[in-house]
Amino acid sequence: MALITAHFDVSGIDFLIKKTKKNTEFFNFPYVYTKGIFGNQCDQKQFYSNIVEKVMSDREIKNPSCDVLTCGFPDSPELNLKTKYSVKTLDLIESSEGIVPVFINNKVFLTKGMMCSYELDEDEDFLGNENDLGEFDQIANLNAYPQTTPDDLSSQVSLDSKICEKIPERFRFESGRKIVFTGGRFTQKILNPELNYILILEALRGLGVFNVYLDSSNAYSLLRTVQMYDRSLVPDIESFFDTSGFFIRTGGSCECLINNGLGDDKFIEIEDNKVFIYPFRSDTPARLSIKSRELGTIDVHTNGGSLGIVFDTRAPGDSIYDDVKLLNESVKQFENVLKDR
Amino acid sequence: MLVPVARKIMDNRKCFIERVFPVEGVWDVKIGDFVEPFSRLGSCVFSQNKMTLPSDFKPRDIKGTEKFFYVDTLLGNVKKEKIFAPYDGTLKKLEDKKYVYEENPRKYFLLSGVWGTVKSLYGKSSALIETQSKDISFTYSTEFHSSGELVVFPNPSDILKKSYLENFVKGIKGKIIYIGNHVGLEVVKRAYELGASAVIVGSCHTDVFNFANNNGFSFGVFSGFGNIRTPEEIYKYLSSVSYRYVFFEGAKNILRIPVREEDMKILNKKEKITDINIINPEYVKNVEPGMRVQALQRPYFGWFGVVDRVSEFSIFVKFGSDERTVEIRLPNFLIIE
Repeated sequence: MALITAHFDVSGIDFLIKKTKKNTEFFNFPYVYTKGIFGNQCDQKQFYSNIVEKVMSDREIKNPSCDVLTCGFPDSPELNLKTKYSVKTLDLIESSEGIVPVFINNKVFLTKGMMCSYELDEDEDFLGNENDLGEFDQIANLNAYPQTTPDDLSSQVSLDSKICEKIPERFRFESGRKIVFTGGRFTQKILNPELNYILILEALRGLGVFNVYLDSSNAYSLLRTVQMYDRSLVPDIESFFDTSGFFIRTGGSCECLINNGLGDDKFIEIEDNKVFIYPFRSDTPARLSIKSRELGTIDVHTNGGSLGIVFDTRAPGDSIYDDVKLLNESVKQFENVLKDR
Repeated sequence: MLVPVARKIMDNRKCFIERVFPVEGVWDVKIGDFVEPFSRLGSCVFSQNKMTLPSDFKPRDIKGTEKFFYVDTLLGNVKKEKIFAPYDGTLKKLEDKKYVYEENPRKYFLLSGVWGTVKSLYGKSSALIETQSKDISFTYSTEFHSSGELVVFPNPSDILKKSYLENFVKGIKGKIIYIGNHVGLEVVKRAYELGASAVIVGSCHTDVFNFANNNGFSFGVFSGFGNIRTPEEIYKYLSSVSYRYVFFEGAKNILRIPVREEDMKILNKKEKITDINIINPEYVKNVEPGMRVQALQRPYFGWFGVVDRVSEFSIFVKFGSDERTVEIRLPNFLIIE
């Protein structure tokens, strides 16, 4: 029997389609229902039911022979179709095991034990000005057309920084954990994908080392929903994420010796308040000896990732979005790495 | 590439409009009667105008707590300014020693405002009429309900808008005003002060919307925030139904315009407006060359164009008579029908 799982986010819908047990397809529909656009045609229930039916019919899946599962933030909407299982994204995150999910969209930062929500128009300085379609208007239009993505780097930076401002200062991730960044913010096809990693750097609170994964198809929520419905259908979800790299946050200047076992050891010295990317991806793990004032000396092993090893020597509490020079340098570095990928 | 279809104007073949007396009244219609916009549903008697006088108002010749005045007679003074009665009415002294001037109760006829059939009467207060309408969607609207005669300004310049409000239209009180492609805060404040029932507009800045929302004022935006033109089809249609009684339904994000049943059929052929009840419209379609789209990406935000070609994650659009094409990224556009 075919299985279709839909995740309804604030800016788009993601689907996981399994026509057979072995076959898995991810599909993103980057639009959502808004009363302002569709209110005179249909209600939310009709709209979403129509989308799910369209996705099924395009794949020649017949409704009676298909199990429909739904999840969503803040909740999965009602459908005219019979659904086998439905769950809130919040519950998926709270029930996470092993890998730490960090769910970010244009409304919320959500991880196990922590939820910070953000309204685009809550700021005092969010008043309009006389500029023709200035930044404020653009952000306001995101409320009216939530699927749209900003048209330039500075607007995206502004939006991302507003989300990160809501994360409490005392919040820390435990060093050594595997962390997957997921949610609508990463499924949107933004103009500058390097800003995804800037957002990750900013959201990655706490000092230490982290194995970072990027989920650009909301696979975490979709697969966890399937797991909660029937664990045998998805035994391992980690294989569906892109291993971005090994992120090292030292809180100040650091030294690192990279031993990849081939005899060409690398010694790297990084001054404070810098972001440095060392491209590295290998099936054989490299041994890293990291020394910094805050972390002391630690030895770790890593296979790197699509980005490599990312060093971040900013002091805890410093925002990359407030340091234009560092932001530009980092964007450039991520841009170059992504170009070479 | 699946993209949603936005239909700015929809035919609604069956909807219900509630008409309410300001105070309890007497019905002139019964259930099942067919009514037209100027049909009288019933009547009631109440004071239709009230003027609150400033605290430094000094009345002329009042001994008790109230006194009757004929229109144009002297009520009193505010400093050196003389205040005359704008209508026949009664000057009343309130407990806080302020004064109000209330017009004499007059007969008020509740008109139908729509072409339809009376479906039910609720006591002496309201009637429910089954009718048909064209529903125009607002991108953004305050969640209030109001109704009134539609006045359409011809997209005037900023300087002219206020002057239009104060001089061009004879009394904007109770009217729903389409004010132009864009409106500023000062003009909306003035419309609110003059007692307009609602203001509808192509675009505005967020301060204008916040003002309307904070003051319980019906306010609708067709295109979005910024300085964006009203879609041509909406402006043309509003102009064609100027001075009609219309309904602003903010909670549903729509402006409901009552129409004759036969008008819907004629317009459908001419304008290809999708009918909500006759066909089950597709809410999403695969985008193809030749389709009409609305761009939601600067500097073309809100513009309408025609798809020239489709690539994997974007489309190339021609705007107006310009031969050049512009790349618009998914999902920054909608199909328009």
